[in-house]
Amino acid sequence: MLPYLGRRLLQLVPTLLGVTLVVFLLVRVSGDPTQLLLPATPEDRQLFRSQHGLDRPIPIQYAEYVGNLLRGDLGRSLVDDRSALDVVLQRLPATVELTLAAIFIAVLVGIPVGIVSAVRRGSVLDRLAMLGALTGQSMATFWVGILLILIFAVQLRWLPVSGRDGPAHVVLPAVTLSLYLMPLLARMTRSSMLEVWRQDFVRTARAKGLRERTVILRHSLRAALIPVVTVLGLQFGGALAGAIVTESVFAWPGVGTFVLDAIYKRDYPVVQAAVLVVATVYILTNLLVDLLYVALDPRIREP
Amino acid sequence: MAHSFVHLHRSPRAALMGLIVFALPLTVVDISAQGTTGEAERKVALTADVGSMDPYRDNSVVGLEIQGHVFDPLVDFRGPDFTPTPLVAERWENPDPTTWRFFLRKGIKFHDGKELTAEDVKFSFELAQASPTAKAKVANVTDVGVVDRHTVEVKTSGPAASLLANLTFIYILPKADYQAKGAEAFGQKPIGSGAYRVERWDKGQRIVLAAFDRYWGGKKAPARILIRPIAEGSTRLAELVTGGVDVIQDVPVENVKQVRENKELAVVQAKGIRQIFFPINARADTPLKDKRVRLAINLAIDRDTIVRDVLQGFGEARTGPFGSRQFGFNPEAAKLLAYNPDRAKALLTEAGHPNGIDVTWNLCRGCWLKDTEILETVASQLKAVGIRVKINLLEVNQLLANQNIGNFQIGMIRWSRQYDSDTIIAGIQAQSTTQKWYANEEVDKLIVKGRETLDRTAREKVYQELYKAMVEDPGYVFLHAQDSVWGKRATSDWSFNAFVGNASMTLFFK
Repeated sequence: MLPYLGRRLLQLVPTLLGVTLVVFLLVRVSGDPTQLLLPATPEDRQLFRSQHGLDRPIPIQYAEYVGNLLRGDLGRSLVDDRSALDVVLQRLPATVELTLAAIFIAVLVGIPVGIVSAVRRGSVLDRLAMLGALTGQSMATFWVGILLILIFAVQLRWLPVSGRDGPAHVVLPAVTLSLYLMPLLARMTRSSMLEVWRQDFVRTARAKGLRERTVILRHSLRAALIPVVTVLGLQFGGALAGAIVTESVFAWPGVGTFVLDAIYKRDYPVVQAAVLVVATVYILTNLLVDLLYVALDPRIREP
Repeated sequence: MAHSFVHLHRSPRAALMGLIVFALPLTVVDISAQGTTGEAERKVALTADVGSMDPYRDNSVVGLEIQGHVFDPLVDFRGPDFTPTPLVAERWENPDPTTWRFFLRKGIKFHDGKELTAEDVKFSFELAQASPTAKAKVANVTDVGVVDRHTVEVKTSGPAASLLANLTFIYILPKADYQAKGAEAFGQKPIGSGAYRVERWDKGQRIVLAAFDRYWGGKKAPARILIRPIAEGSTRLAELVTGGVDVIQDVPVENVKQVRENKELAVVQAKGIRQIFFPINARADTPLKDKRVRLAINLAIDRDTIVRDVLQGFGEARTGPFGSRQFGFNPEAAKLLAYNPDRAKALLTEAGHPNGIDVTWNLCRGCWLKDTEILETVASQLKAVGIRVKINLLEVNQLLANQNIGNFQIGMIRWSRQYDSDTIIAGIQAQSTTQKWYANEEVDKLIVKGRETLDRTAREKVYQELYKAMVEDPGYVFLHAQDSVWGKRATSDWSFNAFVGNASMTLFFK
């Protein structure tokens, strides 16, 4: 287990370096921050570029960026001169909280729905569930968010409209975000369960005369969950992306709303820091998922 | 400053929000009883958060709106006539045309109880001069001298009639506290001498401002203002409808009618705050070189229809560089570019284009209110006289970058909350004089003359002349200024301060 973990952690380095390079180039291709920040005169813009080293060749800028990065310095915002890493880390907990809450809801609803659909394959219940899943997946996050506000905050007044001020505030945004994951989980669980049931060990279990309940929950589910967990890990990134829209609708003070603004203003250091931090979270989550995978299926540990 | 608001407006959203507003009478819970008058706290939803409270680091529109509560400038321009109003400075005089002597109010306290003195004023000028975003405001200031504890002398490179207007952006910061904390920390935990102090600030979530007991102008009401950044127009509206906040910035235009029809809500409109100019490249080798063609474009636009139908009344038609209530407005010259398609056609023919011309108009989507709809309407109006417009959709940075190197036919300049004629003109002409896409010696001469004329009556005449010169040989398509549209609970005592100017940046309740 430990060598496996070590190997995986080492692989992190080139991946993150790749991420920094792509983001570094992309933000620079996307436009010049001085146009919006300083509409005044070309001289002012030139001065600003030279003060921030933006007039030097890109390879040199990148080398310097990586050098500073290794010392833990991610630069300062071009807009308000604050430490880019600080402002991102300040916002990260809110995004992680929202994403975890969404995943929790998605797992809590999606997996049982998948199991029931598999068990009652072809029934009205199964069809309804799968239709619901398809509908859920097709709805735009933005639209769902507003609709939920309309029903639960404006009409029924059960929940607050927006903001982050206690447990009640997380419900609507988390449900909105979970609607992206839930259908996927339900469908994965269903097809994976059906797959597993065709295998010999399930037939053996049934032949032994075990109760159907035991066959489903103890024998099949564990095997069926392996692909589900993988998908969950991969979709975590998608959920983080969905969080940008969700956060913006619900005025949730996370990285999402904030990075949108930074992209718009071409605040290079902040965009770079945000993407690097989110990429790190994403990669670590996938690592965690792979470890979970190992726990679920001991065969994976073998080289 | 050029403001950087993105106005997102999608119709499905507007329809959905229409439901929200109409849904209200059906709700079971009666919140009409929760009137806000007399309560000690008011809640306001703005479109964005501020990055730093240090005005020399964050000069975004929302930043200035919030900072305006915490700090005071020497002087502010207030009221519908932009009257120079003494704040930190009690009065001022010009011993000679390039010297401004400001006499500070005695006994002004910062939030930490220390007295505001001439040293703090000098220090704030230095911060402005070192700030890439604020230094343009003090570009002509050559020296700031402390005469005594309560007197400051500002020297300018030449007579500077717009100095006072520029100084409304120069908030006075406490030197000792700023230096003790350091720039970054000060921006997060600021103190000023303004009517409100920052009591609490949860980034991206809320700012709580508390009325300062020892404010020189007396303690302000309400005792607390809670400001929440909510980027989505529909979400802001939902918060207003449910009583989550008392006041919201930028009601989506599509929903204004419904807000008006809702008895519990009210719309507050501030005229012509965001000015939009469309520079015409008169230097490139296109038909636009001809003054008659530029006149024809301006004459072929029916601005009143655009303001009424597309902006639904939330704007002001402009046929020249200044609005009707701005200093230097020339009512006679304003008529010269009024809608006249026949004359536009005649001018085009006279210029040798009886079959019309093709022009490219750069547009960034989401850059100003109803941008695409307005430009499409303009294009169809121009087509009627033979001017075929190709709308060239660009990302805002690209649009500005191209414009700055003169690579455009018709472009876009947003100019927000400027109220002195010189700062308006200087801002929109800066790019022209450096890039030479429009040159007019008379205009240039009048700009300098206006800047150097300190007498207000004489100065107004100069700007009226300038207005005429800019209309007779237009370097811009003059179209409109858009309003600022706020929503409030009908029972709220909030009112907008002024139509433009620094005063509009503060959210004082009555």
